[in-house]
Amino acid sequence: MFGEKALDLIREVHRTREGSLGPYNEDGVRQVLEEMQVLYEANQQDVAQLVQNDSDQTSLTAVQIRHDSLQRNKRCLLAYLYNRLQKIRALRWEFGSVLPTDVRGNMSPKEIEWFTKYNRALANYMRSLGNGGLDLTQDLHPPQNVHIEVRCVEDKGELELDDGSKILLKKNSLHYLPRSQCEHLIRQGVLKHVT
Amino acid sequence: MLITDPVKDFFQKIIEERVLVMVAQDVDGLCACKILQSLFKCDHVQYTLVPVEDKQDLVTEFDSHKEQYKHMVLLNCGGSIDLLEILEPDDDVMIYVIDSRRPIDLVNFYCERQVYLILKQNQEEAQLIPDYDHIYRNYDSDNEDSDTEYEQSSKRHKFDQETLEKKREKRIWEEKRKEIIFDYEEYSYYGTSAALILYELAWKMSKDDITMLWWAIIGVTSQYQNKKIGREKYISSVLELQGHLSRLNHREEDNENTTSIDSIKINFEHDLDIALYRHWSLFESLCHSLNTGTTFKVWTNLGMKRLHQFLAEMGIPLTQCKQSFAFMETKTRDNLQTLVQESAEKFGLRNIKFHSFTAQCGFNHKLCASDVVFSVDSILTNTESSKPESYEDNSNFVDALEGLSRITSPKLEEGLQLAKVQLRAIKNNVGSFIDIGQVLSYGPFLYTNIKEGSPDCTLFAQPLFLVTFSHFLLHSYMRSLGKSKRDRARNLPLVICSPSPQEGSTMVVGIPPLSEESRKNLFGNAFHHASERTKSRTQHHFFNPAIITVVNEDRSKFIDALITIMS
Repeated sequence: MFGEKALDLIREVHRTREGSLGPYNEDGVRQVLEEMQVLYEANQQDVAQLVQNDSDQTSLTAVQIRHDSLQRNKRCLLAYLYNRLQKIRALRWEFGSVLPTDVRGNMSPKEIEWFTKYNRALANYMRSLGNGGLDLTQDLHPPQNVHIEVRCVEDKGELELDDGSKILLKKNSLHYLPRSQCEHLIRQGVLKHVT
Repeated sequence: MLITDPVKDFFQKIIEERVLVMVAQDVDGLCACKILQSLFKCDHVQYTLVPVEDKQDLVTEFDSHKEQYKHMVLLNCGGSIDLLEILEPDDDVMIYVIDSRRPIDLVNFYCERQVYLILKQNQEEAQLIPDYDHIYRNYDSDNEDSDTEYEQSSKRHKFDQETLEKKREKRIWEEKRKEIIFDYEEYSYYGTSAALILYELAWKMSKDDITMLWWAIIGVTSQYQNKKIGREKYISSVLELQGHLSRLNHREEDNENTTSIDSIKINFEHDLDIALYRHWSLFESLCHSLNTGTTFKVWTNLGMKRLHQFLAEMGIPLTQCKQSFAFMETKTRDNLQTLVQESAEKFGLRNIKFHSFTAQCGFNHKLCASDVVFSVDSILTNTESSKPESYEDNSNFVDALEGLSRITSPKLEEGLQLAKVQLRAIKNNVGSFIDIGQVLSYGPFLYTNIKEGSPDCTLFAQPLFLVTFSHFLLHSYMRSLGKSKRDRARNLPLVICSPSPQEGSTMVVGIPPLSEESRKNLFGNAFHHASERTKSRTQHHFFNPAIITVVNEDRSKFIDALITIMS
């Protein structure tokens, strides 16, 4: 039936976990586009016949149905792409400008292109704020404590803090650090917040 | 160097700095660490916390962190080893030591800078340390004097006599010094709990609260429960804690309406000294406790019968005894303490009750301080890695800290289950050891060897567990002897050998005899001498000097030497 494949794409987006990005289903998108192509061509043919002899109205319903299917496929495709873009945008705020390779691998070339453009736009905007810029991705929620207790999950060597002092991130050591210093490390999974 | 005013000389100094805290992996150390952590949190002191297992660990951790930190705090480790020698700190590194291990190393005590010791205030502990003059004397200046005199040949004759006199004096002094140091270092034992010392620090700064007190209580209880301190010392610490408790409780009462049910409440109680009974069935608990288990000799049929008799005497139905304590009839549960105490005397059970503390939070079950100690101890010695691989090593330490952090922590519950498994293992092994007659008298001490490949081998490779097991074994062995033999055996310490996790070596643990009330352990020194005498390949890297590892081939000659030294 028409539109089935497009619906599959939507289901796929729906199924992936909250906040994660599934692999870009290039095959699925292509199949939908092919289906649309077939529908479009069939419609073109019928319409051409209709124009030639007005008396034969039998194929009019078919054209109508095909057209609706086309519209529906288009909607589904757009929804699929739009939802992915939303997720990619959220990832930008979560991981920063450099995405982990596995996430990057799930993106289509066009999406990567969009991501770099978004990145540039965001960076430009953040630079224009205040004097010297402001990192909007920090402190998405107002912090309750200036310092937090974190546990180091992997050996990462030395970390230089804002005040110039260095600390050694060694596996399984516990640290009490300023929140701003370790927030991105927690996101990367190097540190773990101990509650 | 001894710090007299810990608030000014210790806390105020590190408050502005980034601090490295190194913690020994025992319950007392962890409790101390918890207290210190919350103090640091109050003042936003940035710190890094690293667990250390043995002396090698201490050195490697120190070396890898020494460039970043200038202030280090050692909790329950390092006090009894010469820190300046083994760590070789740079001149600007300050090391603060809070350690319950005794004797304190003399170099640590008398050095003028870098190493700072924090002891309990106004205590006789500092007085036990020999006088400076007896240990150190400056001979260089004398020599210089004599050098100048040397040129004056006219006085040569007289001078010779003088030097002879001096030499003689020096020799006498050196002998005396040796003797004093030997006396001082002969026994290793434990002083005031590190957690208690830190609690007092918090109290002096008026930053103490009920949770900190609970940690201090656990620290002290763990010392008593692991037989590190005698009953007398325990009671004196408990009384002190009770003073703090009533002060804090009093403060709570003033604003009565505001205290919610979810806040932690601590009570001072005269509690039964049987393991985990609130979280187990009464029957199991009686079987697996050191006190009752050994008195009844539960590993024999007769002993089991006597245990049943004991229960019958108390008038508690067997079905209830074998049920989880929480489901026993309320009436029995409430009267349990009096029931046990009345019947205990008939059966020769002494010290069935002891002064302890219980904590309650919300509508949860009461938690006894000793329950927590059991739980955290077993988490620390947990060998089954049921966790993801990514953080396998040291995760016991992290888990144990988490278990301590709240009394409703799920980790604590897991720990209780683990503790039961370990207690069962102890009971079964003790039974079979006694039955086969594995405990042998070697003259000056008793000796047991745990064979490689025996069940629970992984547990025996844990020093903490091995020590607990040896105490159980010694008590049970004593009970299995006849009356005449028992009196003699009471004065004998126990040496136990167990395959060590390192390939091809054996762990040797010595524990003091039963008659030694203050829990002083002479094996630290004896092991040292024995290995020196035989040139055995031994490693003394544990913080507890009475635990060492010996290469398998050298074991027999090491034990032989130990016999000659001690007899």
